[in-house]
Amino acid sequence: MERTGDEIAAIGKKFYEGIREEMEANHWGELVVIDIHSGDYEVGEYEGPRSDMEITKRLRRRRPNANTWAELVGEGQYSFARLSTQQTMEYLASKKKGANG
Amino acid sequence: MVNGQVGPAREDGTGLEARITVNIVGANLAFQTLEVVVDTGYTGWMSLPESIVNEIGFDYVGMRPATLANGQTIRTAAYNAGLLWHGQPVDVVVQALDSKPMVGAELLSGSRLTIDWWDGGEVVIEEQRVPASL
Repeated sequence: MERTGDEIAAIGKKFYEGIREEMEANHWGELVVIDIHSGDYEVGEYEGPRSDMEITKRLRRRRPNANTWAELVGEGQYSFARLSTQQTMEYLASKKKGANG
Repeated sequence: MVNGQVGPAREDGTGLEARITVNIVGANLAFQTLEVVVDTGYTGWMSLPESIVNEIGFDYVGMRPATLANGQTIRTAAYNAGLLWHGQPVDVVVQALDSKPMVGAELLSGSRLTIDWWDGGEVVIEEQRVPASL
């Protein structure tokens, strides 16, 4: 069954809570990518979206069907990318259109 | 080198955007040509509406948070894809987003972007060797 984004985030966060102490002790500021099927994870230095891509690839070599979630250790809310003004305006307009129709 | 053109950003003809065409390869390994907007305010590689993501068929990898320009965080599905860029295949991450197809700063890394910012103006993206002093 396909999971929604909210479900994937919730499962990912739950797995992360289980390893958070160890991550914060040894991998502060690094990115951890978690497979929400198995709980298997891969961690590495974070320098931007390319790091996320590379760490995710490493995890998927072991777990080819991984459905992944990512957390930046000790840094609060992780964001893969900042969206531009045009992307934001078009996204919000499409949501509004969806809500009205 | 990648070439494109500046045109109106909105249906009412207001605003401008820089457009290029890119060749992207999906899960079926066939190249598709797509017109995309170049937007340096986007820090990722590429965002595509779900309809195009489903049509081309990419390798789904997971969900990733993204930050809107108003500071709000949303969740976007992320996919691995291949792009032909300066004549070479490169790996990129595509984010599903309900907006026009866009490419951002991560894709432009290592390139020189020149835009003649008027309707019909030329867009040129050249591969650049990053100066050794940097």
